[in-house]
This record gives sequence, structure tokens and C-alpha cells, in this order.
Amino acid sequence: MNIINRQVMLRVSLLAMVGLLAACANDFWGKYYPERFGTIQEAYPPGEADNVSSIPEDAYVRRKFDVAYADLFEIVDKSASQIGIDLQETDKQHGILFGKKVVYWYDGHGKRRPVHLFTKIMVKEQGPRRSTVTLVVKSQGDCLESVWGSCKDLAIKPTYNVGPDTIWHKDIADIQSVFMVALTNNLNQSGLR
Amino acid sequence: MHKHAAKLAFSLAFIAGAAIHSNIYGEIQRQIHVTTSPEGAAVFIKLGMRNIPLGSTPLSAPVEFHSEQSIVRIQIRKPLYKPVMVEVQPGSLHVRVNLERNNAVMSNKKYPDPVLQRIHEKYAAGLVAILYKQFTKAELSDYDLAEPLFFEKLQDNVALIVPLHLATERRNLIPSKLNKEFAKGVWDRVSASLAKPLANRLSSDVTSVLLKVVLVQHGIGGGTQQTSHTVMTCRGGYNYVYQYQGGNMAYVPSYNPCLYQEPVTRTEQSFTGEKTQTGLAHLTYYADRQVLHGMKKSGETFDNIGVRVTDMNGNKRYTHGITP
Repeated sequence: MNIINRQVMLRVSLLAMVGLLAACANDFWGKYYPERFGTIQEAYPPGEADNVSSIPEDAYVRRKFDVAYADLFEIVDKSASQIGIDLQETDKQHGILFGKKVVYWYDGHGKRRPVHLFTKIMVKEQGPRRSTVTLVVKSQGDCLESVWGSCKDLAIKPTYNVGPDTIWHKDIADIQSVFMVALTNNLNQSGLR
Repeated sequence: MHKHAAKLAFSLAFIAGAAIHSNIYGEIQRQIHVTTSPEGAAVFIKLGMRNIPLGSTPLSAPVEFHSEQSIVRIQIRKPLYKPVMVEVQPGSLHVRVNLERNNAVMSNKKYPDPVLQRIHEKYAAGLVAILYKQFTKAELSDYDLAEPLFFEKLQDNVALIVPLHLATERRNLIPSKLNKEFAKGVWDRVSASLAKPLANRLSSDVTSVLLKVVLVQHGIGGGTQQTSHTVMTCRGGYNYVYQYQGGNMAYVPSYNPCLYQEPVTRTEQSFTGEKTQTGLAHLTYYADRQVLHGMKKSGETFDNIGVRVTDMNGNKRYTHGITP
């Protein structure tokens, strides 16, 4: 009886150790490979304010154009698609476009992994021939808490939480400038600027 | 009591806020009325680079405005008349335009050769009218005459030169092979829609038609713009159709000005805007992204793609290969 109990105990503890090891490994890798990619709704919750007053200046880009709202919204829509932003939600009435762009980052081990950038573009009418465009970008961060290898707390990092020396910052600066280049170029092509 | 008053005040404030909000941001629909002299002009809403057709004058059509202060651009076009752009607001919905005749496409070209002069005087006006009729019929709203059509001596024959201008929104700076295929597609459409009416109008004086098509393509990145000029030739000839003529079966000649369609003879890509290496590198990089976006699934690996470009001086070439 004792021998059986000992064998059972041994098996159970072995299984527990394997499980613990697997969970730890998953937890470790989970930091680099989130179990799932975030959604637009997670990045920009419905209640989030449209103003950018609480965000540092380098976390968003804003330009003013002497262009009517209808024209600018149309060209913003085209420009975002042109630079590879997958527009997932477009609300012309409120002048908001939500999108996603996947960029690739080489980690410390030389491994290429996808990074999801979540974009929110806001177009505001300032007058009959004057409108502004604001681009805010957030990126998906590491998995903060993993339970049994499953990511429970998926961080969506606002850009301003990311240090300037990381690859994230470079990607965000790139998407900001490229978006504005495409937008300006398209406005030039349309004869609106 | 105070609680109820506070509730009521909150509700009223909410309703007022919602009303103001909808007034500012709501899409407002209004009926616009457009009349032109002469009538029958095509009306488009100009939205960015897009032309949304509304109908032909006189017309009443619904138009959406973002707010009471918003403006929407309306373009009015009629063959042989100068296009007109007007801005409408929710407060000014009646548009009345007197169209001005476009003499630029009806040249009074003087030829040293009296034969060419006679042919021009005889056919030019009618051919321009046919061209615009075809543009409207085939819904080729992006087509226009780049300059007045003219006639030229081509070996022993007379050739008609039709310089067409085509503005396209296809903005992928794609490898030249696809570009040529696109140009060929344009050629097929143009020649198919023009061949028969031209054949009916032209006599044996004009045996060849040269279509000079200018494709304006918009590139992105680095403030550059791509314009490709494509010259395509169409040579006339006679088809012999076996049919009844005078009660007997015979081969009857039928003139077709586009019988021999020669392939694209010249394709140029020139870039305006930034001339720097950085600008070109940007351009190529995003052209590559566009190809990825348009032709491959996200995340799929793709081959090395190079874009060959010529700078504004026309003498320096860069070939960029990108492997992401």
C-alpha cells in the first residue's frame, strides 16, 4: 500500500514538475510572443477621449491643412491604405479612422517577430476650407501576466511609454512621417495644396 | 426635490449636448440644383481625387455635408466646353453656370502642306465631337485631349494624331512589365471605342491613326510623381469581307483605321518632385510595400523586387532591390 502510494505520489509530483516547467517556459516566451494579438477596441476603448492634451508631443503628429473636411477625409483614407495601414473602422461622421499595421522587429536573438501598431486618425473640421489631421499610434507590448501559459493581461502600450532608444519608437516615427508624406503628396496630386 | 431637479437638469444638458454634437458632426443631407447653359453637362462631386457622377443638367440631387459650414466641390463637364468647378454649401444650393467653349481642343492649325490643311479643315471639328461622344459613351471620364488633334504626313499616307490624356488613380509604382500591360489595356479600350466611328468618318485621305496616350500615374513617397508617356500606333487598312454585292458574292473592302495595332512603342517614366537618392529610396520602398499589400497576403514572404527609375535629368538610373 505504501509502495503504491509512493509511486502515485512520485508520478503526481513528476507531472506537477513538468507542468510547472512548461508554464514557466510559456510564461518566459509569453513575454516575447503574446498568446494573441490585441484588437482595435482594446487599443482604443470606446470611452477614450479624442483629445491628445495628455499625450507628449512626440507621441502623435498633427497637421493643419487649408482643405475642406470632405476632401481631407477622403485623402486621409486613401493615404492610410497606401502606406499599409489596414483600416478596420471608418467613421466619417465623427472623423475617425481606426487601423492596424504590422511591422517586424528583430529581437536580441536575431529572431524576426511581428509587432502590431494600432493607429487612430482624427480629422476635424476647423472651417469651410480648413481641417486638421491627427495620427496617434499605440503598439502592442509584452504579455504582463501569464496563467498556465495563457496571456491574461495583454498590454497595449501607448507610444509615450516607450523609451526613445527602442525599436518601437523608430517604427512609430517612421509611420508618422510616411503617413504625412503620403497625405501631402496626395493633396498635391489632387491640386488641393 | 433637489434630486429630481438635478436629474432633470442633467437630462436637459445631455439632450442639448447631443443636439449640439449632432449639429456639428452630423452628416447633413441637402438637395442641390444645377442648371447650365447649354444643358446636358455631366455633374460630378469632386471628393479628393475621386469623381462621383451625379447626372446631367438640369438636375436636382442629394448631397451630404459634414456640417452647416462645410463645402463640397462640384465639377461640371461638357464635351467641347471648359470644365467648371464650383463650391456649394448647405446655404447655397442653387448653381447656375454658363459654360464657355473650349477652343484649345479645336485648333486652327496652319499646315505648310495644302493637302493636310484641307483635311484638317474638313475633319478636325467632327473628329473632336466623335472623340468626346465616345468618352461619354464608354464612361471614360478620365480621358481628355491633351492637345488639339492634328494630321501628319506619314511616308506616303496621311496620319491622324490623337493626343489623349489619361489620368489614372492607379498609383502602384509597379515593375515596368505590369505597367506595359496596363498601357496595353488602355490601348485596347481606346482603339476599340474609336475605330468604328473614325472609320465611318475618315476617307482614304487618312489612312493611319496614331494615338498618343499620356498616362498620368500618381506615385507616393518622397514627394515624387510618376508620369509615363506611352505612344501607341494604330495603322489603317482594308478588311475584305465576303458578302453579297450587286447580287453576287464578292470580297468587299472595308476600311478599318485600326486594322494593325502595333505594340507599345515607347514608355517613359519620369519623376518630378524630389530628385534625391533618399527620395527615390523612399519611393521604391513604398512601391514595394504596395506590391506586398496588393498582391501578397499579409505576412507572406516575397521575392526581391527592384524598381528601375530615371531621374529628372533623364540620364541616371537607379535600381533598388529590396528584401524585407
